[in-house]
Amino acid sequence: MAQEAGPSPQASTDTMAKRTMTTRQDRPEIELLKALVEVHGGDRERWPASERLAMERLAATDAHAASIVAQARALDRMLDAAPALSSDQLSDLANRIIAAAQSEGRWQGGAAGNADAIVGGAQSSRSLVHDRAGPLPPRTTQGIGRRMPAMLSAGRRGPLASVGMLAASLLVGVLIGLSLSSGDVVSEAQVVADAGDESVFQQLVMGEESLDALVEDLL
Amino acid sequence: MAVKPGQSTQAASDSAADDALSDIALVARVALGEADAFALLVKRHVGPVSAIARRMLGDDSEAEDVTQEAFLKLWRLGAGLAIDGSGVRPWLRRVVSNLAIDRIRARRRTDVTDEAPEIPVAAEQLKALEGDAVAERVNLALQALPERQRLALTLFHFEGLSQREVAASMDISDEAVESLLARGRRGLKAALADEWRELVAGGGAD
Repeated sequence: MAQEAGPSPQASTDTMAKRTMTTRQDRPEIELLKALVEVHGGDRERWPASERLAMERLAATDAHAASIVAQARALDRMLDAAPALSSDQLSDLANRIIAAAQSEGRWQGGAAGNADAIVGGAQSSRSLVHDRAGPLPPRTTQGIGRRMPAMLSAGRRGPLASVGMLAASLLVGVLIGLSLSSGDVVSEAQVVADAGDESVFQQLVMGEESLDALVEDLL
Repeated sequence: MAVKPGQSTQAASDSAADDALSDIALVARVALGEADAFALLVKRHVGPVSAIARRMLGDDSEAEDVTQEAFLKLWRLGAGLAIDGSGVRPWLRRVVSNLAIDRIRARRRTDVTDEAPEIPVAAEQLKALEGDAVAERVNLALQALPERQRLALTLFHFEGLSQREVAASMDISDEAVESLLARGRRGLKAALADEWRELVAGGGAD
């Protein structure tokens, strides 16, 4: 990978050479090489173009110069061993970032698949950054639905439950009224319970469950 | 899901089309709130951007946090972000570097508050991790470097930027980059002296 080194490679390399020469005097070209690898490392393709040819020639013909380059390459290789995120981590991270942006609104399209579920409103950047599981799911009536029979779920739940409860109330009211007239309230109520329509009572129970669930969900 | 005939060809074609979209075009679409454009930018740049964060912070979790924060800044800025022909990467690089440095400084403030004793971190930690992977030792040695040296090395060595690009990214002179790189490499060489000598002696440099 060829890289540019800067606007004035000669001037900067002179500076490096001066700095390095304060410690131990080698031949000027060796000092120059030391300064070069100290800044740019041992990968010759990273060396400034203006120095590359001369330094490559030096390393190819001088054992000391070759050793300096080899040492710099060893350090490069050690640096390459520094840990990085794995591909799985990167993939998860990308998905989290997309989900977090989604939760901030202003979202069009369906890259993450659940754009329709956005409730809107912005979270603070702080909470987004630390919310590893992504944004919270939108508040829905799912909590109620999962505790109810299919027949009462979603849009059909309301009308059926209401009709059932109304019918049951009427029936119970009529029967209790009749039993009061006969004088034995307890025994007549038992009769009603025994002889009543099971589906009506079932719907009553279901209606109560749905009300409980609704209260729970609201809380 | 059943794969229809020609679907893979279509997918490959879509992928090639995605690759051909410039960052400038994608950022313009992000400004309009287009999900697909943002997702594409994230997938295109998350690797290199997170690598800077990882090497600066030395910790996966913190690196992921600042990477996410950098991309969310991009999302929030939308139309307010002006990028040139070099794409959005230089901007992301600068943002993630600054966020990482902020975190490092915050850690330091916490250390001062807690009155943590001054210890030669790299040497102690390297000793404590005797037998651990070289990768971890290198990580610790990197973390022991002053933050500007670490950033210069990260951008130059890991990101593959030129000296001039590092200078532009850090908003300093070429000479300052040169000095940071030289001091950084000297510091690493000293901290990793044993492993480095072993590698040189074993002929592992080539």
